Amino acid sequence: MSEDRIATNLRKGVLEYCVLALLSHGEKYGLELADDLTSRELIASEGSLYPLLARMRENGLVEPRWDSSGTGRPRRYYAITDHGTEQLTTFAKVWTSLGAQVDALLEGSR
Amino acid sequence: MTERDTMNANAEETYLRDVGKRLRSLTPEQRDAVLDDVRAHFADAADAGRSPEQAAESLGDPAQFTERVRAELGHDAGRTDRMWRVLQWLATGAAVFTAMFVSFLWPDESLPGLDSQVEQYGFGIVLLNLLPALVAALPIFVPGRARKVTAVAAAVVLTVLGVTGNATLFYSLPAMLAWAALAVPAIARHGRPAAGWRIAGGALAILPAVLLAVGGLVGSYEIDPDGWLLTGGFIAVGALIMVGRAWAGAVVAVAGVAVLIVATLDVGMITLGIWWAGGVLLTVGVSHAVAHARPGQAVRG
Repeated sequence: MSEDRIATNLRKGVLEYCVLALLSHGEKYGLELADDLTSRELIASEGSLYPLLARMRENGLVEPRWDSSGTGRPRRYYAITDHGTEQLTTFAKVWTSLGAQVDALLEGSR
Repeated sequence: MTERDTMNANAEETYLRDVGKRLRSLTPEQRDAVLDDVRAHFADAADAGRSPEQAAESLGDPAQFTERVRAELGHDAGRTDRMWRVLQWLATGAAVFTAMFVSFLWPDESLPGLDSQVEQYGFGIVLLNLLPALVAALPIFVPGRARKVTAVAAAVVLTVLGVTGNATLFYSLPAMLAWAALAVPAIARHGRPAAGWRIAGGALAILPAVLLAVGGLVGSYEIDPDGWLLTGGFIAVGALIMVGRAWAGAVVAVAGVAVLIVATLDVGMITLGIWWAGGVLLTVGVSHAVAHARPGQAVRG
């Protein structure tokens, strides 16, 4: 399997937790989130962010709100919900132990 | 509004309209939320100095974008398609079953004596009686675009046969299934159907048993203990349909098939009545089962 393929498969599983982690620092609007994720090479374009947000919204992990306080058109901000925070905590635990196991295996195989 | 603003609004409106159209299978709430995201995206992009064309481009073309949304929301496009296929094949099978019954077992009263049609006309009549089965199967084999029209036409033809003539009345059975094939995927396109549908289905499944029980209670006839047990069982299964158990639908469907077989074994005055009861049970049962099957255990078409 190519490097790209491996990276794509791995990203798929962790992407929503990366979004939760970004939102845990404060609410963000769509393009802000997308730019952050693309610069970290976690998504290729905005086209894959909104479908993901749709599912996360459906699962009660994030919540959107319109903010029309600024000038120009209103912004749609996304915030992490309590359920989202719980899920992020659980993921962090799993990631730490899984990462350690994988690291140990890779260390041993060298 | 300047000319440029108008052009920008057009690019955005076109994209939104296309996305909205392609997300019809979602619930209105889900669709509105996605459209809000897209609207906000265009606004964000404009603030960042990007043109609407660039904003649209970064989302990908509407077909691809909406496909991703549906995939993320677990809207398996094949799900309703499978429901339709199962029911349409069943309608075809029921039409073949009807053709065999009408050809070989049903004494045609329009004929002298009480001969079956095969005895009267020879084997050719079987082929003629199988024509409705061909009509029922046609929608499965036409190209996707013509499918809905063909399916409606097939259901109408079967219904006309089912309400007119003598022996052709038995084609009401495939007609019921053909209409179910059209209705069930539409009703279940947002996932599990609304509670009203399964309550109505459960009530329909219970109806024969309730009528039987009422007759027994007022003393029109005697119901033996086994009969009461069967009646009680039916009412229990109907109740399970009402609460949305998929397997209860399968039980009702199997009971419907049993009733249909009973109808063919002892041909008499009330055969058509029994046939209709069996048809209703089969149609309600199968419709309920396919509409409530969980994605993992969806019936293969």
